[in-house]
Amino acid sequence: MPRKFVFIDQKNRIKYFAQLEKEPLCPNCPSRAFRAFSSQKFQGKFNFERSSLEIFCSRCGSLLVEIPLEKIGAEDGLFREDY
Amino acid sequence: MAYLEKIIRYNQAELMPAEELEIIENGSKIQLKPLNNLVFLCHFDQPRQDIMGPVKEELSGKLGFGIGAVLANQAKFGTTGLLHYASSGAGGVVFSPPQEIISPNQLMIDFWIKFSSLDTGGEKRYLVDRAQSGNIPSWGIFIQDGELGIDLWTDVLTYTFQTVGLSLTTGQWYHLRAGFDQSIDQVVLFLDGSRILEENFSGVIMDSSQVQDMCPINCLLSEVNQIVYLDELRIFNFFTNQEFTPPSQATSPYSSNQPKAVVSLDSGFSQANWLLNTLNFTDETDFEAGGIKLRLNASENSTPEFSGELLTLSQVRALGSLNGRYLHLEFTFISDGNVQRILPVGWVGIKPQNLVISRRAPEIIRRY
Repeated sequence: MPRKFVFIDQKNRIKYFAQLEKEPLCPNCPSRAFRAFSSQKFQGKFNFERSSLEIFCSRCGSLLVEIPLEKIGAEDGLFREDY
Repeated sequence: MAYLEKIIRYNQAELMPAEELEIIENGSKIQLKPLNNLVFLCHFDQPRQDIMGPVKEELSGKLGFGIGAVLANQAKFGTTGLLHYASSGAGGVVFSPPQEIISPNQLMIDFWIKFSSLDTGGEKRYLVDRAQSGNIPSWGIFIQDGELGIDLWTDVLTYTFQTVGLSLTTGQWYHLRAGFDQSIDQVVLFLDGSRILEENFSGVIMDSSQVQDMCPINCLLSEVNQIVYLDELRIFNFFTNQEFTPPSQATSPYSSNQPKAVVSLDSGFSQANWLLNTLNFTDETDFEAGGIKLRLNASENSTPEFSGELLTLSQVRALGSLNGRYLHLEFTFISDGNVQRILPVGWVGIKPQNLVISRRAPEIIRRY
């Protein structure tokens, strides 16, 4: 299932979006290794400097994929005025 | 009878705040309202638990189970316990979800939280969730290196909503609330009552009607959550995107920690003598349990002025008497949300001063 990430910088009134169309698979970790205590095989981390979303294997921590984030500010009218 | 009795009724009582108290039975009682739409409440107030120890969920009396958890009975706002585990290894507390939160249209989850560190090593750690240890995940509230967020699993997309640039600090208690409304596809996150995230999503949030596929309610179900202290977990079956005043103490789920009712009795006499040792109520259970306390003020003035400590009913009786045309009573309701305090009708003895006439020797008037 696709996964959508929305990061909200309230102070600077900026939103960042990214979407993963399918689950990245970790070459090091078999899928059965993820059964216990976690329903997620990966997790995303916001990289501010690179304005990107890094996807790591939640078991071994390997970087699986890096996606550039789409940035939307208040001037685009998609940021709520009452934040 | 040596004194008159004044009945204490509440038709004219002033309630503070009016939303959290109500006058019932034609003014003969005041009760603390139950928290609207509250379907789950856990205080973590029990003393230190062993590994795999049971944890009582207060609202329905259900038991959850701690997995390697330590419930530290340490001071939290100077009162009771909280959920934290200091031992190494995974831990947490798991509850079976009440029916009201399975496939809900609206849900609000809130709790008090304190961090001893904000460093999760880059990993997302769920604070409270229905996303782990089950086959069909629904939602999860998390921290990731000092940023807060919520994950939603819908039938069309999996969402991660997360803050950027949040300035949390360690050692400070925060009130965190997350919620969603499927009818308007909205998700919100509040920190100390202020909205820090409000977004839209699409699809239906997943859940299972089959117990074997259903995610339980998990609290701090992770190793890294050793950095987290958590308490007063509440789940409501409603949604609001309006900012709010959070409970000001973790141990009291009411917005005003101790709602108050004030009633003024008018004796009709100047300098009336109120006999506090005769102050009684038809049911004193909540007084005896420490759930209702009082302050009094007697004066010629119809406006009350209360000061000093809250008193128990027996302390008030020991005061003896007070003088003034008016007796003002302030009732403070103290509850952790489990117990609905009820103040019943009462009465107090009164002696009008003008009935207390000193006896004089008879005057002999000579008649000529």
